[in-house]
Amino acid sequence: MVKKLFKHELAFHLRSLLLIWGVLLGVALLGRGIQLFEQDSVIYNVVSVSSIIVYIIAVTVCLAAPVVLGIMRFYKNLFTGEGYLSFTLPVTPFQHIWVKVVAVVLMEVATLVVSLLSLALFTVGDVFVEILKAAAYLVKEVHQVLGNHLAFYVVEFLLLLLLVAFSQMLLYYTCITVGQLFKKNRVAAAVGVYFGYYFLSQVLGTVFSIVVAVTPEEVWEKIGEFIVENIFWCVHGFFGVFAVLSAGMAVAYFAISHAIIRKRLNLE
Amino acid sequence: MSELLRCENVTKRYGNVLALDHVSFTLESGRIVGLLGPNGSGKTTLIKLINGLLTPTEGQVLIEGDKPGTVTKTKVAYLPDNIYLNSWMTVQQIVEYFADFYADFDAARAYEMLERLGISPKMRLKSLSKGNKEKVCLILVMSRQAKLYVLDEPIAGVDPAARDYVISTIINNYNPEATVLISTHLIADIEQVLDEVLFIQAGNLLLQKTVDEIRAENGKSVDELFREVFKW
Repeated sequence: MVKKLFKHELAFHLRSLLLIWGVLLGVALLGRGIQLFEQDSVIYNVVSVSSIIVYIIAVTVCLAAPVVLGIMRFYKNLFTGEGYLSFTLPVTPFQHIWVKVVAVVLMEVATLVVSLLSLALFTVGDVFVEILKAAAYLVKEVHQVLGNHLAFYVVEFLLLLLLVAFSQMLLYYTCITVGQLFKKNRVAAAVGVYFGYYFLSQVLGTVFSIVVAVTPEEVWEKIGEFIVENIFWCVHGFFGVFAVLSAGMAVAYFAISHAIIRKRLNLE
Repeated sequence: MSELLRCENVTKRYGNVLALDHVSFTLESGRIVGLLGPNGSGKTTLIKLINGLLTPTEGQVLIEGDKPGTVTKTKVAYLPDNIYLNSWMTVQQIVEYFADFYADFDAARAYEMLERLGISPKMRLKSLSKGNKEKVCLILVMSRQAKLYVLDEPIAGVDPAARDYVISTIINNYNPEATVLISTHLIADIEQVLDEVLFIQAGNLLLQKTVDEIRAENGKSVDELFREVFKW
């Protein structure tokens, strides 16, 4: 069932995203085409700068699209009229949530790849060669300092990004699901839950800052010395702690959404 | 005939509103049952509870001994009282969707019924009229070999010719060993096909009888009894 659910989920996303990706690649090609006619005139400069702005807007829209589509899909497919079909399929709430979040994260990764491809198209030629040269130089320099840690950092960073993507999407799902517990104005309630959560996280951040501020200086000096002595391993630790935090939050969000849908579903 | 559906003291509240009040009944397989009551009597709430779309405040619904879940959803074919399909999908995509998820779905039968109506599988749902969308929904549901068909107001808001089509589609396509639960307040149109009726009013089950019992004991048709019971 998961495979079938996944197939239909991907079909939904690709229906919109293929078009958006196509537009982005088109804008990139157009921008590169404009650069080929480079000349010292006001009109060219206006057109050239405009094409860069349009490209940046297109990339931004493209990167945001999977998240926006994912949120809309989750809400519409489960909590509006479409939910009558979704929840009468022989599929568990766990499978519904899991397939939806995996599909969105996969689309986010694909969109990132398409965006990088569009950047390659936009800068193809001398500029692209220069970017590659600069990237190669940077990797070489950093590798000299970090050694084999670099490869692990890259892997850890990518894994962390994936976990954050899962966690963030599941947070949106949780807000929508909690919003369904309200009798009226459920979409507004979901938005309220999100901002309530955001406010709470800001309060926790402030409390943490206060704790940091009141910690005696000598403690920070010792911590600082430890970090300097073990800088490479501390960076691994940093990735590890954030990965565990993100994974923990993702599991908590998933569990909340799942429990509400399983025990408190009310498609009125 | 074996017990198919059991509702035990099912109560549903929406905040302060009591939609169903300790409703208990059982249905056996192989019956066509009318769930009859005026608007707002709790018919749709009961149907949604059977399909697991609502959670009961008290009591439980059992389908062949199982609470609504993945097992019961393979046995129950549900027609909601509104159009619930993705309007961007083509008819063919919707048929394939049903075929993917329901092992008892007969796609060939669905295409045959669609062809008879002149609905092309290539058409997008949004391009169909409201009446044809409703017919597509009915065809999808009746193309399943389910054990329990739950049809919420299938003949409400359609013209008399379409009503005949809906009723004949139900009668000609349902699995004879299954039970069909039809919610409606248009009794005269479906009375001839009913074996049994449930009268529901203000969340209470007023009566559960076979049509033959009503005729023998009350000397009335179901429609006449309904008008008498629900008289303003």
